[in-house]
Amino acid sequence: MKIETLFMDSHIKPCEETDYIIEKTGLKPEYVKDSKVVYDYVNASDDPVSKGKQTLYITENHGAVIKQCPGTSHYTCCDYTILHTGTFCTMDCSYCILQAYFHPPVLQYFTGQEKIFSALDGLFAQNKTFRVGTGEFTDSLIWEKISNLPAKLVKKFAEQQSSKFRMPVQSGSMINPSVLELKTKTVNIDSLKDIDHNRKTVIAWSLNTPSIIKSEEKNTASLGARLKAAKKCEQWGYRLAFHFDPLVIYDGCESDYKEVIRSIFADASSGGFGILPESIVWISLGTFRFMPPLKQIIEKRFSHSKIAYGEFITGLDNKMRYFKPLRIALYQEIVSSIRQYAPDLLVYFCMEDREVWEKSLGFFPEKEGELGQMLDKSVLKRCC
Amino acid sequence: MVNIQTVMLKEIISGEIRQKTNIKRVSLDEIDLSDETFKISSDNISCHNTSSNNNLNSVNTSFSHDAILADNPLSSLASSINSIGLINLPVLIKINSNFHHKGQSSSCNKAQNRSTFQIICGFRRVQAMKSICMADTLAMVLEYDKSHAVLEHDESRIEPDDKYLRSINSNVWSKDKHIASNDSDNRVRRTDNHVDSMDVETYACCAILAITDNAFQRPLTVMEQARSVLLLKRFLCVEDIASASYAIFNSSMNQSVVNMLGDLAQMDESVHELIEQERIAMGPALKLKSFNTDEINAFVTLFSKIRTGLNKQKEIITHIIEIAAREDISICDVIKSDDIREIIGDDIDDNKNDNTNWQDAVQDYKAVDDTSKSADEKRKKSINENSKKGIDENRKGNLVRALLFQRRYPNLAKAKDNFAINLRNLKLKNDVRLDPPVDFEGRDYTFTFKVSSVEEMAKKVELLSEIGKNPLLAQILS
Ligand code: SF4
Repeated sequence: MKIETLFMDSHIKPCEETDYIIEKTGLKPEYVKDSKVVYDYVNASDDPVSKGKQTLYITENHGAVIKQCPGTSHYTCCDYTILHTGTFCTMDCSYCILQAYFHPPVLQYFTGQEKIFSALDGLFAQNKTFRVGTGEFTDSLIWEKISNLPAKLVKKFAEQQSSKFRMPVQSGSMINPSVLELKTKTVNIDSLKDIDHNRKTVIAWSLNTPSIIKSEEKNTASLGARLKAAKKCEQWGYRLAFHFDPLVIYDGCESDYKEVIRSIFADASSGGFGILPESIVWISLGTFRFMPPLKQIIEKRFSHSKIAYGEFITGLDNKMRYFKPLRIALYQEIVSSIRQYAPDLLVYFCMEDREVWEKSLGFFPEKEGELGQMLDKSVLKRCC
Repeated sequence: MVNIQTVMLKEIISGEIRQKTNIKRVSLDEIDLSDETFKISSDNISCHNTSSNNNLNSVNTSFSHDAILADNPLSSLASSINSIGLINLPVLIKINSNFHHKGQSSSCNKAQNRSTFQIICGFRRVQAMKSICMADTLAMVLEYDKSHAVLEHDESRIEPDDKYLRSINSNVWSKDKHIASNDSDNRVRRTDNHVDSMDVETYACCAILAITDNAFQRPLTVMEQARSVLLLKRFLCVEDIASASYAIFNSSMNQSVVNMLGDLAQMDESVHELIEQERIAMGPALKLKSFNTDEINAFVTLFSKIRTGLNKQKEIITHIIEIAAREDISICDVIKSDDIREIIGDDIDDNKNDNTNWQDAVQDYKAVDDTSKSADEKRKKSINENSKKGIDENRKGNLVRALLFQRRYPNLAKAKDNFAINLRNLKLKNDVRLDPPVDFEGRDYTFTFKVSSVEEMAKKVELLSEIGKNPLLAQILS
């Protein structure tokens, strides 16, 4: 959705960062002393969620810049680190949890790149691999059109080895490099082209079947466009990741997902994008799950969507999940399809339990932090 | 600025409205029973006559009182009035003598033409008195000084700065038009013959009197509350109704309840009837709000043949909506499917009256000896058996619910069926119970048993160890 209204905290001093955004949006900011003005403006709409997607609020992050992913009880978490640079999204997926997460949902850009960079320095100093993502409360690359932050973050991660805290080792690699994961459904990659990224940025796409993209992922890039952008990034030397999340169960979904997998790996002569398995750091799989209040929002905002009418049960974390045998059956199909093209590629589940892991992947990262360590190893293998 | 809500409430509470009434003897023939503007009581409380047979003027006066009393649903009230007289007087308002009801045909019956009083409170009492052929009654007659009244469409009479009164005045009459259009849709049953001739203050006063008269004698039913809200919404906003609810309804309501009641009042008459028959609750009924007439009719047919509690009603409606979405068919197609018709069909004998719960109903269609049969076959067999022996409305409700669950969650229902079959074949003794994880999501199955002595405990341990050797248990746990 196009940003139509721009608010800015009146106490933020205009600077290069804010000037850049204002110039790119082409909007005259309305300066506000209190965020309530923005929230009231959004809430006054019949559809505050849509209004929030069209309303950009340049403000400051008064909370922590870096957070650990809270995960969810009873299901295995990947120990992700969240870099909190903004909230909400201009795209409009029916299943997006952010619709129910913020009250009200507003597109917020947090200024203060210095604060972000110094928080990252603190992270890099820990001599530990962190997988850091900006895509938890927003899409990482919607901002690329109006902010230089994504490109700056890529550079920041690339330079981490020159940090005085780091121990350089032979051939320029590091003992425990951290990586930035930019997760997106856009194709906004232009500003990332000529950056010396040092392979410390993983550009990740959420993938789905064309029919789900059409019916449930409004305003996102098509599957073909996403894979084409991924191929470009591969050519620019970036490492890639793919997230099949949310996997949606519908009649014929297995063959549709297999076709998506084929498109990733098959070469151009057979209609695929020929992405090399060694360019991919990981692929995650997660079937659609949601907090119960999201269902009403989907019904109200996406009255033609059937996504909330699967065979859902209440999971152990009180989120609605597909009945477990259905999840396992779909995972098994997808895993075996990925294995055909990339037997050594790290495939993991986002928020699943032991039974699902064992029945679908044949093992379970039982020890605390084990899944995180597996992912860290993949970072070492592919990003150094 | 006049705050009409405050003025009215103050007057009602302090009894000043009563002081504006005079006790008069009024001929019953002069009272217009057909105008139900201020009738909020449900027919099953006030009387079992509907508005269509309200006209009791045709009662043959040659009948003896006793004969009439025996046949009349108002008989106990009539009998009481007959023997000890009226305890509470009806409250009436004198109808503007030159009123001309819009759309009223010249062929109105005689009594109506003679009517000079409109009922505010006491519809049942007037009906009861008419039913025993009383000629007249004492009544409190509300007097209002028309010179102070704000006349219909005569905005010039409102003080220029009295925006509030101006807005509620226009609100009343614009809502009036709304109701008139609803009337033509047959969505509003009650007639309001004299509202056009009434000013807003008088209308507000009558409405509040009508509601409080009922609400302070007994709790109002949902439909009575809904009708009351509709009356009030003509001159009060939702926020004001909510804040005045304790004084008017004798119970407090928040704005969302007021809104829901308002929505309910606007719904189809057939849905109102279901609510009055306690076949559907307000929450589930409101879920039908956005459906078309055919869909509402289909739901009404279904709920008029089954009885279930509030949560089950919601579940049934939700399942029907979601099955329709999942299967790309219409809601009517789901409700009119052969399986459901088979359960609720008129050919089913409704004599049996037991309190079967859902588990029993499900058990009925699960507990068929031949375990090789599909759940569908078993359910059909169970339905046939049930139709042979006759099932009551509760049971039909449970069967419909079980059927819808099976269709909405086919894999989960199948897993539950399989577990039930395996469990039966495991032949656990009665006092040992095995429960699966909820919806088979977790991994932990639960054995439950009771012991009252160490010896008994030892026996149970032995029994459990026997069960542990049964390959069926391994199958269940896998
Ligand atoms: S792209 Fe992501 S953040 Fe944006 S609407 Fe879709 S799910 Fe939400």
